[in-house]
Amino acid sequence: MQYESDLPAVTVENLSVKYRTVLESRPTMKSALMRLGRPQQEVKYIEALKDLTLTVQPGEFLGVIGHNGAGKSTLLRTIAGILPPSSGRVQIAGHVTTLLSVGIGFNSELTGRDNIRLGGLANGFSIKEIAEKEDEIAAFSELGEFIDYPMKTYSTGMYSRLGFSVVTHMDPDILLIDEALSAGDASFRDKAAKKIEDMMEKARAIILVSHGLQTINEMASKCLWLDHGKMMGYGPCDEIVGAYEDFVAVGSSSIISEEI
Amino acid sequence: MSDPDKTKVRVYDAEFRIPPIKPYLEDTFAHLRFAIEKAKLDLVAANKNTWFGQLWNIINPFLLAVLYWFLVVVLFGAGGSIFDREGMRVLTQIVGGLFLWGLPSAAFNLGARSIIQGGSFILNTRIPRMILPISSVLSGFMNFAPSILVYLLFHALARYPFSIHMLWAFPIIAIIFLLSLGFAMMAATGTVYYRDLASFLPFVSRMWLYLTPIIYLYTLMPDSLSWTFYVNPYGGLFAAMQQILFESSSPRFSFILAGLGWSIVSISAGIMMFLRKEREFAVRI
Ligand SMILES: Nc1ncnc2c1ncn2[C@@H]1O[C@H](COP(=O)(O)OP(=O)(O)O)[C@@H](O)[C@H]1O
Ligand SMILES: [Mg+2]
Repeated sequence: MQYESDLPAVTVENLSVKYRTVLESRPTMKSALMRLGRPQQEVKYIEALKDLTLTVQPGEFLGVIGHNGAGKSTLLRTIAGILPPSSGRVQIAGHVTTLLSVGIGFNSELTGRDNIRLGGLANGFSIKEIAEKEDEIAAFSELGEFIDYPMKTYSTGMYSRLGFSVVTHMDPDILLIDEALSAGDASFRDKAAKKIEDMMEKARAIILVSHGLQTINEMASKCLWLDHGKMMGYGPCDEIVGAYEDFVAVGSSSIISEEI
Repeated sequence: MSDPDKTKVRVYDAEFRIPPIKPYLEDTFAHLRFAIEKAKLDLVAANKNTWFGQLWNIINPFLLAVLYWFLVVVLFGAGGSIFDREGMRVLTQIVGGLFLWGLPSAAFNLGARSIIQGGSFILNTRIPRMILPISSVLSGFMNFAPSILVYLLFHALARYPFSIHMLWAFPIIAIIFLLSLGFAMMAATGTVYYRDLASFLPFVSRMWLYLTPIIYLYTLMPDSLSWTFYVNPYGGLFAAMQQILFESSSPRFSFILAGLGWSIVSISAGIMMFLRKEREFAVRI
């Protein structure tokens, strides 16, 4: 490998991320014209991550927990280079592949096989390399003949099974997984967990977002607990998961109802 | 591995206003294969690759051409019918121009929508977003390429000579491609901010078509208006195309030069505009 091996796989320094939303669902020229001479449209900034600092060392497995809207997906997207930081910085040493909750899905009119090809090309593999991996990916996803059907005919579970199979076969150094394990049936979940463990040996680092506290506790070597974009805890998993469970149990019922 | 991703340390810093240009363009270049495959598969997905879809691509501009021919030749009395050589030539001129207009048209239609329709792509992958408008114009090109053969058939039926000057078509098409690529990037960026641009631009494209020598010969342009071939980025290029196809002559050099100049302006402006805004795409979609 050509990167300097003493660098942390992921370095996050004072990271804040803001979404900009305009209270006007579709920005149009018409509305821009109508607005002339009148007060500015209302712009709202949602601060999804606030002043976060952490490092993931080579070989580490970071589990991320927190209730809905805590900023977990935002953190993964920023580390993946999809969302720009509003302040602070992120440094990555290695090849990142992401498995975000939406799956791969470049075009749902296309077959699973076509999407495997696009996913491979997007990750920098050649057509030839992809052809070699294609059957393995298809087999792992257990989609059977559906692999040659358009993805719009897939169930959510099939969608994420294929997504999981594609990203885990892309030889990532750094693997980012967002709530993917919750999809699929129990037997696929076991297989996926095992696949992630295998990858641990080869990958430089893994960051996993999951609602399954049990899974996180068993697999991760370190845990991060986010709440409203702020770091509530960061350290050994049994400690952090325990604190989170206490918080959820003691905390107001609003947190629990949000979870459902 | 071709992916620069695999050998580099990446930094995402709030201080960066725009992504560093050189690595960005290298990264885009490294994903060209992806753009081609996506363009191809998008056509497949739109059923354009079926036998009938392909046929429709060719029939559609052909029907339009017949309509324009009817207007130009029959209603406005330019004389001739398809059954004589003059009429056939008018039809051939219109057909050739309309086929080629498929490139600008892809830029203003597919290109404009490429980012706003790229939803899951934008939110889930890190590939340079510039790949999306590039892929749209490539789709347009893949639609256009087979129609070249159909054009050549018309060319023969109208008994236009096949001259060596027709080889100029290659550089002219390449320049039109680049020009359209620049416009596609601008249109894609603009549409993120003003969604209704996507429905407005096809109208612009249609007006632009009328201002460009396509359904009429460039020689019909009065001398007092000949400057428009230099002001309209597509004007000189389509005029040059008519010179090489219908006059069996080499193109007027200033037409090519003007087109080349415009394409450099369009590509640079397109890239700058796109890059200044691309970081915001993910938080705005
Ligand atoms: N595209 C978006 N535009 C505006 N706000 C968003 C967007 N995506 C997420 N948010 C907001 O950012 C916050 C964090 O969201 P997210 O990272 O998805 O949380 P989690 O994955 O932990 O559920 C939430 O308040 C959410 O409403
Ligand atoms: Mg989430």
